[in-house]
Amino acid sequence: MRPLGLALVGCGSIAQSAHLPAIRRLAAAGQVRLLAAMDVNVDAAQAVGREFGCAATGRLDEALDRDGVEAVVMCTPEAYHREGVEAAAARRLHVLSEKPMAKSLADADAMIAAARTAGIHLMIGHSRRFTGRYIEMRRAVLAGEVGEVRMVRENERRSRPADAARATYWTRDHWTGDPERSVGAILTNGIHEADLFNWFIGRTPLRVYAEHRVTRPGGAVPDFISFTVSYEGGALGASEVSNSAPPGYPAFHEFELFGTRGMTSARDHALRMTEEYRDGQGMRYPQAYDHLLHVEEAYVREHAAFVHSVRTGEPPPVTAEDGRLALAVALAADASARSGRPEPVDLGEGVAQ
Amino acid sequence: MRIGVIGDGRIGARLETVLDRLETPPTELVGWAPARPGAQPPAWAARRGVPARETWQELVADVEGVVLDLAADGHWHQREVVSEAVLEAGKALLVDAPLADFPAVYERIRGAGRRGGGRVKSVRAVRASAGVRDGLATVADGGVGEVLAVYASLHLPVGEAEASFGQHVADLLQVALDAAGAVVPARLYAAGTPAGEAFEAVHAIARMPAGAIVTLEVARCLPQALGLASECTVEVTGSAGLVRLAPEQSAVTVVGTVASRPIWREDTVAAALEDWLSGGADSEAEASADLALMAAMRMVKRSRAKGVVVGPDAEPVEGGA
Repeated sequence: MRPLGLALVGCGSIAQSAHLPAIRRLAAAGQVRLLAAMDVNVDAAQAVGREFGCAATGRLDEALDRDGVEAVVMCTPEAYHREGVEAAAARRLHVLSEKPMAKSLADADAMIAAARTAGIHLMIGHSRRFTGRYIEMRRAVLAGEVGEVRMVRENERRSRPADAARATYWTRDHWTGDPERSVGAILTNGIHEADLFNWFIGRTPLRVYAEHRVTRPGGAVPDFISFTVSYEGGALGASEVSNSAPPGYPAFHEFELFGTRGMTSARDHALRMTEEYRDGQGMRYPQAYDHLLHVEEAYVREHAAFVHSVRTGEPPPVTAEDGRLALAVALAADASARSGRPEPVDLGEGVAQ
Repeated sequence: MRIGVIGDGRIGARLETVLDRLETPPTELVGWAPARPGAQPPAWAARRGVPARETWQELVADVEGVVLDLAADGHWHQREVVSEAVLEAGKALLVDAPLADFPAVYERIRGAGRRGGGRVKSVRAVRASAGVRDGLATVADGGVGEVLAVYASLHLPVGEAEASFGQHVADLLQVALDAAGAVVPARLYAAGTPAGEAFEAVHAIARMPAGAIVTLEVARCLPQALGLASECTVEVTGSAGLVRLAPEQSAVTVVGTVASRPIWREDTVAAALEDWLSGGADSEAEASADLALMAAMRMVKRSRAKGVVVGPDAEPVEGGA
């Protein structure tokens, strides 16, 4: 079978660190071929174009209209996902979209409607579902090994920028810190936890309470959030997401799932993998950012699942409805943090449970 | 010192170990008494041959010190009545913190101690551990800069600690509040799994007056097969550093450079007993912190029961981030 023709929309950090490595692997295996790369930063698109021998452009329509393109990998910030998906759907191109699905539920609903009307697959890239640890945990839960899931918590810790490449994160000079384009840590990071809670608990999320704050001096977007989700049947999901750890602190995700008959837990590392002791300087964690569960293998699995879905017509393993439900939880958390009261989860109509 | 134990909670069982290793000052355990009519002596008392008295009043009259061993859940009034009587009689009292669940009652009991000359030592099970103490001292000294957030979790075995679940919430709240300045939260929301089941979890999020966000998680959730008494994690994130205390590693303080701290694992209940037997008493700072603790405990309880956000007086509040 010939490779699936792809267009990459957005060539920023998530494309560079996650999606392009996966595309390289699948291209080497003859499963995909990157035919176009688009970014408003044309230099970034051209760099991808040179490596993959594909077209490079600063225009969305030029990328999508490239001959042979059958599917789109959407790596832009969430504020631009609706525009990209609607443009792709109009051309009957399948879409693998980065998380979060959108910046608003109205956008998400419009994306779902566009995909249904066009008959395309719209898969949301909740990448953690494809990491080995969560796959194994999910298997254990589905096999009944921990009993009924009663509480799931994942805390996520990232440091303040220690390197020039990340120096502008959570400032107005980067989209993560621009109120026009970013809701904050709940969508940049916490959307992962929202999706994992839904996936593992498997019940309807009812309401969310959250507190958030801006910790970055001069910042305008909350880069810290703590939230708790109450589910039908009494289970809880809870998460504290921080981007405020000291520079060099090892980024990690600490996941714990408790059931009525057992538990399962995982962390990226035990805060030990890369520690160094130096006389007079104590301990430090060099290059700790590299040890996140943000692993290449997960994105390879994610892309392979998307390709399989397009080729076979089977529903993608993370549907647009899954993406909307995670978004609904995350936006309820954001609304709660702003209102100071628990907020209901907007389930919309026809959301698959 | 002639001492007696009232009630059948978590402290008494530790007393045996402490008494066996304590040689000076000489201590004599002269009796046990029920805190509530009809309660039976705990296993440790029967095993040790400790005589049971009919009433707690009879025991108080016969001893110099009282270990009030009664879980707070549902027994606040009884605890408070006994505490006041013990201190009014000029006896030493060991009891789980805090002394009361209302500030007015708390002040009344403290007043009884001042009048009668009794001293009180409160058990602060998590707060007293060496790692937590050192970590909070770093925070109090400004070692992490402005406190931005506090995360604290305490996991207990499924099916255990049902009678003292509220006490465990209090144990952890002490730590979280101390890290955030020992003041009453501006607002708090608590969610929980259904109360009273073998598996029980409470997750609370509070905003402190200065803006710090405190997240608290107490759960009876550990599988019995793990054989763990508890797992405790405390993280204090500041503008210039971070303190992390966790069960799986040495506690870590990050302030530009990093220093290791002792792991949290010692028996702090037994340590409090030993200190009390040696004449130890609560400091004024500890007593003051208890007032904030009482308020926060009421906030957790009320919010969880009502499903609403509550303010410092534990009454529902409307929004306003």
